[in-house]
Amino acid sequence: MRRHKGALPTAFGCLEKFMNKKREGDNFRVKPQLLPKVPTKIKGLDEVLNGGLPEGRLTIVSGGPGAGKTIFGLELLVRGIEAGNPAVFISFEESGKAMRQNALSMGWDLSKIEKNDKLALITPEIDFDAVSSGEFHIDGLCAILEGQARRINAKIIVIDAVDMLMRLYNTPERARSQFVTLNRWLVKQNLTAVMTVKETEDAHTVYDYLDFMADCVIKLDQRVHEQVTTRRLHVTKYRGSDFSNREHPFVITRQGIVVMPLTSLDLVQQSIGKLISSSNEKLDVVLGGGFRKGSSVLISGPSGSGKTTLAFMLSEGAAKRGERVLYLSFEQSELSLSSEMKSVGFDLQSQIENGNLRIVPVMPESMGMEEHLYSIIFKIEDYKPDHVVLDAISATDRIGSSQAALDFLIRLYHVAKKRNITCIYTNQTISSKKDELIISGVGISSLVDTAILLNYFRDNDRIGRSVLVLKSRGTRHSDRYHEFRITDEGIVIVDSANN
Amino acid sequence: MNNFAEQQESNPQNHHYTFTLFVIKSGANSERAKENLENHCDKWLQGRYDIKVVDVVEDFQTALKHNILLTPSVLVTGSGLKKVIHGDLSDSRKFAEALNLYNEKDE
Repeated sequence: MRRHKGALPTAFGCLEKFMNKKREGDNFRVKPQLLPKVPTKIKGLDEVLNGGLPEGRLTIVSGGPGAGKTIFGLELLVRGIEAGNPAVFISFEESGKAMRQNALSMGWDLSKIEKNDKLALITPEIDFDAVSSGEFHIDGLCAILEGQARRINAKIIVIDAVDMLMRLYNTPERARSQFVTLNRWLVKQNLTAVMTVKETEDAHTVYDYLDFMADCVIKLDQRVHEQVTTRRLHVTKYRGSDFSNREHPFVITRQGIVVMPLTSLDLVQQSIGKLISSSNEKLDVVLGGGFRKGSSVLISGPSGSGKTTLAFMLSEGAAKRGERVLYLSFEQSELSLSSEMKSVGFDLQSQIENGNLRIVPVMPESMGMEEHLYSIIFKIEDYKPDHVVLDAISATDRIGSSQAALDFLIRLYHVAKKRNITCIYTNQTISSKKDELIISGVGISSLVDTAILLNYFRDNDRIGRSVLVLKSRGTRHSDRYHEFRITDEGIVIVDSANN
Repeated sequence: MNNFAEQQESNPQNHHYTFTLFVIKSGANSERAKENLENHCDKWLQGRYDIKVVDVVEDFQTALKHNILLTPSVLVTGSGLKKVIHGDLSDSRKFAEALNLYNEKDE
């Protein structure tokens, strides 16, 4: 037992003791603990969800017909099972046979995982001719799900087309109370649950409360604009977690869903790379030493001003140093580019042959924005280039709208930045005096590190070509116009570039 | 429709029915549903019925086989009829209608 030194504790000592006691009891503040999450393993989705779906809680996936809800649910469970989490899949819309066929088309053999008790696929037919007499509850369904979940020790449950089930209830209030029952049951079972709901024009009045009930809400959407289909994924709610609250494009490929996220993380990744030579001594002087690795370089100018020639000079120089260049040509075929470049002294063929240059012709009209982006990302991941050339970004408008083009460029920009890939864009400006200083028609100028402007000028009875470095981050570049010529040996800067 | 079938249709007194009642035994309305079912059967189908009760918690497979997701529900079979009635059967008229018994008794 502790004793005080004095005969009586001082008033101050008393107070201090009291305060200390209080502080102990009040000590409930701890470091915030994040909700446990289950990675979906769907490409790009975990980045948007900042880790995955809320573990042991309910996620709602809603969208119109054909938005990709069922595939989403299917892929979620397939990847979940691959990660060692058995799953129950119940669909109120499709037959078991149709579901197995859909899965097979993605390369997933459900019957195999059913046989070894990793998946319980339940596809009840809802009897819409049934008669109602008095009160009934969803408990029967819960008992069925519980039985199946126990049998395979399920961790994940996907409830597909839950709106079909809810049609059995004649009032929204009853449907709602049944959803509450179902959700309570799910939480009690500690199952990571995903419910897909069909969104129709009037459905939001009936199913809006689902969004309140769920911990995470994902909306899928499919739009058709000028015959080009675009798919979007939007996380509108995630209780207790950060998430990327914007629309992300996604595609459904033969390997499954691929989300192409633009997260805030990408935006801060702006480091200054080492200087790379433009492989033209005089141009290097104009540029203040060259351009930076991992930066984005925009070459702007009217038709015939030498943009592609310059882009090729940079590409060939890089390839000769042993760096890899992916050249995306929106305007010309590989063959026509190659012969054109030969005429100005660039030998592309040998760089293609030694594997340092890959030319990919891209038809803007052939696909939607996501498909283009996906196919380019795929090529980048496959080829692992140091530099990507986009000739010309002015053609990306033809993907759909100028908004789609901008989206496409911004996403590609982030993909490149993340991998420290230098991006070289060419952009055709329409010749007019006012346009002289408009470096980009598609609105990416703020993302560009180095802006090079090419133009014509009249010199008595001839046309001269000029180059101006409008900006170049991280270098002390020239602020003057310089004359250049395109010769058999490539680009030659004729005037002195001394500042 | 031939005459025999017509006769059968208009003469439901001859029909024999099997009722499979799906309940959650521990559920509040499971007893009520059973009582209501027995009462209706006594009233409309003297002796011409069997009742089986399935506890979905014990035997979810049978419920699944018959696509029974809601409880209580009763599956009525017999004389070519197959019908599902959802609910605790407190609405006797709905019950009778489902079995085409209503008009007969009412008139």
